[in-house]
Amino acid sequence: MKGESLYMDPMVELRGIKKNYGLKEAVKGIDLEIRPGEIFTLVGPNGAGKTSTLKMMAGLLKPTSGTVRIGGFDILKNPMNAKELMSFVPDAPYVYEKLTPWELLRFTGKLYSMDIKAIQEYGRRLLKFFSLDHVDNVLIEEFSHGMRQKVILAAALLHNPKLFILDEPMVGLDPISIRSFKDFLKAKAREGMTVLFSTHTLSVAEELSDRIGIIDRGRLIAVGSLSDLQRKYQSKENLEQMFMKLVEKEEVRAGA
Amino acid sequence: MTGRFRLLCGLKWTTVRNSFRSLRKRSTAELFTLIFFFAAAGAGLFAFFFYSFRFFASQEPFGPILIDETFFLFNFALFVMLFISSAVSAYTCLYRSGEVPFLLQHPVRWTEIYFIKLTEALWYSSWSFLFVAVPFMAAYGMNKNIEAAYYPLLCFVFYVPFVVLAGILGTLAAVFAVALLPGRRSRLATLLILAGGLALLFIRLEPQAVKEQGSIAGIMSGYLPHVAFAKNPWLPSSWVTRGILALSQIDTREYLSRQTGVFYLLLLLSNALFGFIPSYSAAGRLYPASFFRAQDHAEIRKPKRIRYSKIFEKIFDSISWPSRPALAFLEKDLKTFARDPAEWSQLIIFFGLLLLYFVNLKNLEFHVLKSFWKNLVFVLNTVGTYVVLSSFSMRFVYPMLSMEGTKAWIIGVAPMRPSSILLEKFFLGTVISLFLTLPLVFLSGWMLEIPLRRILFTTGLGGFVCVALTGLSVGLGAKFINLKSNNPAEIISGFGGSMLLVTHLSYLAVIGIFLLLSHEHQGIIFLTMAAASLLIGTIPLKIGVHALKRMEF
Repeated sequence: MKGESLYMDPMVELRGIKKNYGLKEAVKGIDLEIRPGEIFTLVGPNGAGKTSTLKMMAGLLKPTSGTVRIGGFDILKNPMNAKELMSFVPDAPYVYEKLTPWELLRFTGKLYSMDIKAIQEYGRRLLKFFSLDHVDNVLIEEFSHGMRQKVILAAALLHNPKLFILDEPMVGLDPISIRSFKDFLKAKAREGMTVLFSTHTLSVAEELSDRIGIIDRGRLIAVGSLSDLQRKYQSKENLEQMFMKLVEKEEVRAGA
Repeated sequence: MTGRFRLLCGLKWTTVRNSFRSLRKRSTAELFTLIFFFAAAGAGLFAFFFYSFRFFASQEPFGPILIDETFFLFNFALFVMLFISSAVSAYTCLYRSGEVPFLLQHPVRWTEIYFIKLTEALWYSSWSFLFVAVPFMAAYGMNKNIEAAYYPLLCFVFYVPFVVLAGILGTLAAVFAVALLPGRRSRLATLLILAGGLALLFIRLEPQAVKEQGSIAGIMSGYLPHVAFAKNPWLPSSWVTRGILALSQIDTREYLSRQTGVFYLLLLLSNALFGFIPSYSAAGRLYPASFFRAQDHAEIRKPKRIRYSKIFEKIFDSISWPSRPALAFLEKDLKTFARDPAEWSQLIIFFGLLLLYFVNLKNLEFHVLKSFWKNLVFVLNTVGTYVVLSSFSMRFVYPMLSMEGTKAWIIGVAPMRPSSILLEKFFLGTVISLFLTLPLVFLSGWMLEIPLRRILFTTGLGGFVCVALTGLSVGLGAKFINLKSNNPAEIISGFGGSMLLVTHLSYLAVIGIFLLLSHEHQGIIFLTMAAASLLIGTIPLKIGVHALKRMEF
């Protein structure tokens, strides 16, 4: 069958993806595989190419060269199959201000052709989980930044994606919501959801990730679990210190 | 002028300069099209005013009188337009702009914020003023054979204080309105009541002592007593008109000396300068008080809960054709539109004014005109309705796809074809256009007592016009999509918006010509225009689908 996915395929498979914006090379050839149920974190300085990489995985940007496969489906050749498997939340997500949280969930559920009963059932559960059930009929324009972020996460999770891609997901959430969201992500990963997110909060990456990828100047300069990275770079330091050293080294390499 | 105020002025100047510099980054073709569009639109306005004046000048005895009265009326309309646009700009700049909280974090005085925002409001409103006033004054001057070297300077010295005065008054009105009515809903309700009052006044308008009913000039002269308010000596617009008339020595009906012209200029200047005194007082006291009151009001009021969409949702749940995603978009678009008074209030004003005018056509006695004039009024009314529809289409339909762009995290990742979104926007835009336009066109013909066959012909053709205008808006909206902005005004002001305006107006000009010619060979004209309109509507859609398929978010 055309576009049929192999069950044991990695959930995300990047092969030599590059992205150029005119003369600027934002992503310079990344190869990466992420397994189902894995929590993978992408860290890197501003302008390193994190967002471009995530957007290419989500099908919002076309790679200049290379391939992106989601659940075995090529994102360019079989976009519908690939998109059914995932959700993406960008760093500054805009939302329909004149809809209520419930209506936004209804809308996104219908975009994924979900049954109205399933939208009702799972949507209500998500609204409760994010403590939005008491404001489910208030327009989103009335909400604070953190509340909006919760609505957005709920809408993205409604169709129970197999791959959840998030760009800086914890920004704006209060400490209680951050704690419960971290627990939620861990629980979903145990159920088999692949989580891929970028962050500047290295302690979050340390705590949550099965593997961490450090990206700088469009290159993936290090990939592995925290202990792998410590072993590989013969370091007993935490992620922050290791990150600073690696980026400095890359700076020297690029300057040379 | 304080050092900080100079610094703020410098900052604004730098942003304006940078905006102009960014024009250089556009392609030559794009720049050429924009320049061509502005030149063509200006020339078109000039030609319209010039030939209208020439037409009325030949319509003795009422025509020449109408031209002079028009000058008073034009300046009055300009004053009202400048006042309203300054009030709206000032409200946006003083209360809604993100720059004010930023400036308040720094050691900047309220008076400095007020005056820099007043300058901004004047800058914005003077552009639209230039665009309308220059073609009108040029056409008027040429018609009256005023000396070309002297006349522009004369207009300049009168219109500068005129624009400043209107801006000062509009800004003060905005501050007073917010101080008295800090809630947005109460302000909207007051505006609607005021608009309703004006509508009632208009309905009561009837011509008086129409001496000659066989010509447009004759009928229009019957309305002169109703527009006498434009000559009220307390109005700044009346000072400008009298001053220019006096100093250009063109008034033939009453003696106005050169000294009288200078008197009106000084009157205007002194009032514009005096306007800074209450402005300074308002800037220091009323503005900060109203700013905080409006902020508090937004925090204090209870969040609005939506309780009435259950039946609406059930209707949508029961439909599954053409597809769930497309219906989800339709449901979402209808809900968001209905909940935004800023959106539908503009529609009510635009189409409400047309409705009022058409309902009042019998009172205005246009139906007693000779058949030729009556048909001309019908065609003008119909094309006027399409022009209003075109502005609706440009303001609401064209930016629809761009507005979705910032929500790419939802729609860009959803498993649906780009064409579904595009076709949904086209469907929604066309249905609303048909609903708004066709009854108005029919009503206009009916009130003018046009033969039913011709009314049906024009109304039927209107359906195809709706398809063409919406297709162009949606298609070009996809082709020239702006994914970075969430502001419809910014989206429409781009290159695609200018292209759309040119194509809409060119298409409507052709429609107008065919409507004028349609007293003969109605069948052929109908089929030709219907087929052409369908093509004009569907080709851009195809281009739009193609552009969406290749798009990156």
